[in-house]
Amino acid sequence: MIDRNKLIKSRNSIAYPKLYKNKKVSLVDVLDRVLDKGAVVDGEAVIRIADIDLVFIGLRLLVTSVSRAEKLRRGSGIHKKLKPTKEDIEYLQELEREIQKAEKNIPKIIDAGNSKKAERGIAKLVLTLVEFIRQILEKESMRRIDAGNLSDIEIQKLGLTLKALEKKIEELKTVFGIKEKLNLELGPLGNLM
Amino acid sequence: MRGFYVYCITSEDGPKKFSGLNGIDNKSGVFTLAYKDLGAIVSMINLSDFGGNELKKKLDDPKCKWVKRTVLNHQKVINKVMKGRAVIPMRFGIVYKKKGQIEEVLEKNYRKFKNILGSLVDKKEWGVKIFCDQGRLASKIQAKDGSIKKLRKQLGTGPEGKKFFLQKKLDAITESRMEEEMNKYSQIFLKRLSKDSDKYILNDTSSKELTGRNEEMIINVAYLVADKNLVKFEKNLDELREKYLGDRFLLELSGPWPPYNFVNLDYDRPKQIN
Repeated sequence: MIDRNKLIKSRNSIAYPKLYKNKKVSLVDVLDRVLDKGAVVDGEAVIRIADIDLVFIGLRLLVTSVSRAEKLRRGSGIHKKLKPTKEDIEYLQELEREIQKAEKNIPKIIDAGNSKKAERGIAKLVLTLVEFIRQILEKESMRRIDAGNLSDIEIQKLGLTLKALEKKIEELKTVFGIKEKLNLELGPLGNLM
Repeated sequence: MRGFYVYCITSEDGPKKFSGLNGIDNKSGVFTLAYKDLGAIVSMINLSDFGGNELKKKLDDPKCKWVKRTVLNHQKVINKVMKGRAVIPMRFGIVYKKKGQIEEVLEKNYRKFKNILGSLVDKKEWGVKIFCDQGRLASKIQAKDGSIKKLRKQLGTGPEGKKFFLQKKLDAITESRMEEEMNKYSQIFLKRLSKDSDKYILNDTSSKELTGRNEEMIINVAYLVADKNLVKFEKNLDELREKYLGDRFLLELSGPWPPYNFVNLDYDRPKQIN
């Protein structure tokens, strides 16, 4: 069903795709195969695979499911692309449920004296956006340096400013106990940075 | 109400009943439903376990106890059935209410199933995962790449602000060289491993968080290998393993698996029977 079929290469027509790309996700081997691979017979099948998938890694997997749904659409040909499949609809409903769940949870987290945790989440979001802007500025600076548009003193100032900002973000990360790399997963759009 | 859980499709010449083998619920026996010379390997389950609130509850268990157990049982049954014959393994969660529905599926897709089974005779799926110690690869690249060496030299001198940009540039170049290098190695690995296999499918790699390893997974691939080629296939793997260990590439083999990765097909849906 998915475009994995297109990836099957017979030994006589080996065409090597660009392989190394930072992708992620998958559980232990068995779960990986049994839940995601194998023949699918439609019709009276009662379990919805999307539901099972969602259990495992929560939001993380939600993101994967998004790309999986993407693949599904891409793999099913252009003429079918316009119509949402049953799986699409189920998946969207699942997303809506997840959003509702999250909406219900937010006041709970704050009420439960968990404000520290909530604070951390907000700090992470803000820092992510600051870091995102910082990286854009950095790239633009780099572009101008390479084009030879900047004087030495301007380069010096820019470099130090960006470095200071970078350090400050690191410091704040430590303050809020954020160990992971700052980023936002945007599902089918990939990562923010 | 009881229903039929389907594990795989195979030829019907095997046992009608599998004594001592229990289904995903740990208690119901596994048996064959036949249509002509095709067989669906099934066991009875409670439909309530697979629908509505009951399922929701099981899926909401943060430890996934039920899911893990049933998934492992699913695999266990197919493993037993595949001994000595080709199977088309089903994905987890294929359930029918009536025997007739399964027979209809077999009837409607008879040719297709036969063809696939024919293409899988005496072949197994083998999984290969390749990991890379990126830290070591990076230092290896930095030590020998000309433009990187030049940049590093410049880094030693000059004002702090300028150094910042040089460092960033250095990081970016290193990263793109790493990607090139990793692609290069990936091609080598895949080319060699494909030699004695029929087909392969690239799967998504897992993040370090999921694998729990220090090395990055760079390839996750499933091969369909004929039993008679297995020795050669493993030899290729061993030679690669030995040759590239120094560059910190680790190769992991798993299998034999039912050909989960090689049975993705569209086939006709049965009519809805109420």
